[in-house]
Amino acid sequence: MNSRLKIFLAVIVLVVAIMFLIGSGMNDTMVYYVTAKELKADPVKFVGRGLRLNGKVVANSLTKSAATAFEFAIMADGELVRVRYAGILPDTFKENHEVLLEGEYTGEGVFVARQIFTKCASKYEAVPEHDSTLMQK
Amino acid sequence: MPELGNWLLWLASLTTAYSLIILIIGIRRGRDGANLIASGNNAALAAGGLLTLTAGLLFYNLAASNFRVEYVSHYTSRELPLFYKLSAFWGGQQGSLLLWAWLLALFTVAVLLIYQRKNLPTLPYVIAILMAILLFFNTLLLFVAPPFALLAQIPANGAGLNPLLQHPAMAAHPPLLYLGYVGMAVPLAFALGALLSGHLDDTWVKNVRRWTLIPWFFLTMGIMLGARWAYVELGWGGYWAWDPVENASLMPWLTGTAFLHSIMIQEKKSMLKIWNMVLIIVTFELCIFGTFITRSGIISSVHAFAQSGIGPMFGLFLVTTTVFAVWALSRRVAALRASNKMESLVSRESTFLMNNLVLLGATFAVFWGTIFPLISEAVRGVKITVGAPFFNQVNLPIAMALLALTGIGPVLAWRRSSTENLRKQFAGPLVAAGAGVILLWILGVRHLYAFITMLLAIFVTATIVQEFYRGVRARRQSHQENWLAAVWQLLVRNQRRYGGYVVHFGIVLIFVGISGTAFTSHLEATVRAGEAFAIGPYQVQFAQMQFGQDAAKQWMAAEVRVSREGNFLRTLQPEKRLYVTHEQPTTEVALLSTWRDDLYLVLAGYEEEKQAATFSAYVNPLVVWLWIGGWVMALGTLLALVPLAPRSVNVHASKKPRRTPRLAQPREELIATD
Repeated sequence: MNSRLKIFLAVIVLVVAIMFLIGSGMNDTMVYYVTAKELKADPVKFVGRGLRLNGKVVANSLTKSAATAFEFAIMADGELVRVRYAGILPDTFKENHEVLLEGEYTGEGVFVARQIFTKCASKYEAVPEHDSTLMQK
Repeated sequence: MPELGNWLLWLASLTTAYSLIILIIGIRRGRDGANLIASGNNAALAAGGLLTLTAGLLFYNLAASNFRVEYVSHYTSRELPLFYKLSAFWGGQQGSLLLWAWLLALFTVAVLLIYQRKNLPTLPYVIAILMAILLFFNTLLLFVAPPFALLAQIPANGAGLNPLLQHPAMAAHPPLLYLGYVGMAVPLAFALGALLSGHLDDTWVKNVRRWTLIPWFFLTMGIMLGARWAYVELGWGGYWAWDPVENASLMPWLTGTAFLHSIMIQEKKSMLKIWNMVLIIVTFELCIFGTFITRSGIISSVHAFAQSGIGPMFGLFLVTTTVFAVWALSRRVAALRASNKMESLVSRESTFLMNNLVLLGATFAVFWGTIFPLISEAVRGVKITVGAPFFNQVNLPIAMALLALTGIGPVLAWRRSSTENLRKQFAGPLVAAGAGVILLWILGVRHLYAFITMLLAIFVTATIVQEFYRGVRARRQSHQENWLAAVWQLLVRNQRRYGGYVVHFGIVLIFVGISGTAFTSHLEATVRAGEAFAIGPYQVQFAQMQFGQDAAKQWMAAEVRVSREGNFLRTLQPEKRLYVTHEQPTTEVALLSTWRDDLYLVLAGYEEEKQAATFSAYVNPLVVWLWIGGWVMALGTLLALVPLAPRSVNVHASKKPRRTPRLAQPREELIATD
């Protein structure tokens, strides 16, 4: 086979392989942003999918069943969603503050958060806030 | 005196604009334009001086705690140590932009001082382009983000610097990254200068390599320090979260790395000329793109940068510069067509081409994952995001391919490798890899990716050791030198090549460090005083809690006794602090770092009545090699960059043109050994 053809084929194989990696990676790891309203309107649709949900932590809703097991509720566009979380709450976690949850919605109406991201109202720039565990395996 | 700052900025901007205009006129006049060009150059030098004064003035106001300046009152406070008062220069947007402008001006001055006497025909173009970029930053400083804005009422004290940022790595991380981003403007200017002037011979290639290596060095260091800071300061047990801001710094590093490799192909073989132009343009634009996405707020990041008017400005700048660069390139496409063609798949050129594709593939994967929320929202109306799992899953195989190429590429012959060459180059490393398989199996490494990575690490290290060994042996034979002198002479006489190998070895160490992630263990434990928990080989005993406070903060620190396999090692003190100026508590990680693994302890909470402390503990194997790898890379880059002996440069320059690749001659540079 001609050398230039070989090089060309190698390039094609490489490009296809990388495209395939990206494509399959997307399928395995996609996370949907949902609003509390969408979640309440059609809960079945979202069960078992990776989800991100935004909301404000409801005051006095935080309960602790063990040192690293928490339940609380968040409020977003008029809907209340109960949340369960096992782990350590980030330093920036506070009632009445915005949180971004990543996790799954169970059939019984509880959002099981795997990760909690907080957006603090800090006026300081360049402050990363990955106090929550961002790279859980 | 801060009013002076605005005047200085105005003066600097006018000087920059003058330099740009007069250079363009000078270039258009051709031969008669020499005086104008000299004047333009002088104006560029003056702009550098004025911006240095401006920066000095901001440093002065920060050090003197002049809270009348909004910026000073916003990012510092009286009790802050001087070091952090000064580093607050880049704590916020206005100062960061001033730093960009100042560094860019300094780069321009350096380029001018080095090339002014060498009569480089493209120099006026290069300076004009740098001035155009500088003018953009100056405009931002004047109209969008003025660093010397004053407050009507002078506050008694400033707001202070976020305690998370009070860390030496964080003081150094932003300016290093900026040096990297800004510095990429210089190779871009050389490339555009070549395109605009039509001097497309290989002079720009020679000049640009060094000027790319400099910002590349700073990018590397900036990324490594950022990772180090995240690791020791943020308390989530990792160092890289694939956050958009981190991705933004990685992308130009990847394309810059690709450029540094493919430019060698152009230098030696006059190939890939168009490709190289595209690569350097992409690299520069990615530097701007990073700032654009993070400051415009179009992609949400956990880095809480202030969103402001500069986002759209950067977007506009990105589009304008890209259109201009593509236009400049399109005019010269015909002239840039390669005169040589690739001859064999098994040659150094073609593996470098593969290396380029793999690096660009990784860049594209990172880019795609970063902007995907935008795309999905625009196209399908649903906001979908991908996080760390996506980036890890996609990039790990790509990274391993890259590591393999790191071993294969440099030892293949140019043009075509004969079977003889392949046997000679790969017999040793393959034997080492074979031994590695057995060794890794005995050590109990069963994780597929970690196994492959470590195996490749052994293979690549073997190729590097072999290169050094052969080079040293050749010198010893031909010059009767002792081992040490031979190693030194080898380095000094071919800094680029052996510096490159050292960088590759640093990469190998970094991969080894990253592969340790496969074996991380993590647990959260609540223990009472006196009780212990075990994680991996460690026993962690919580002795007692201590409380304290000073003017700036309250703190509680757990006294923890750590033993490994029954032997007491030392006492650690993970802490939780509450700074007076900041509402949220911060975490002080306790770290026990060894060559085998890191014990990483975070104090998560304490219940007074039960005397029970909750810890988040990680054992992160091999992490220390990541940091060592970073330093080795820095050392290797410096070795390739800084002339160790004046002769080495000359030897290099005079030798290169005569070098002709020969068939079946595996290593031109090592004729003596063969």
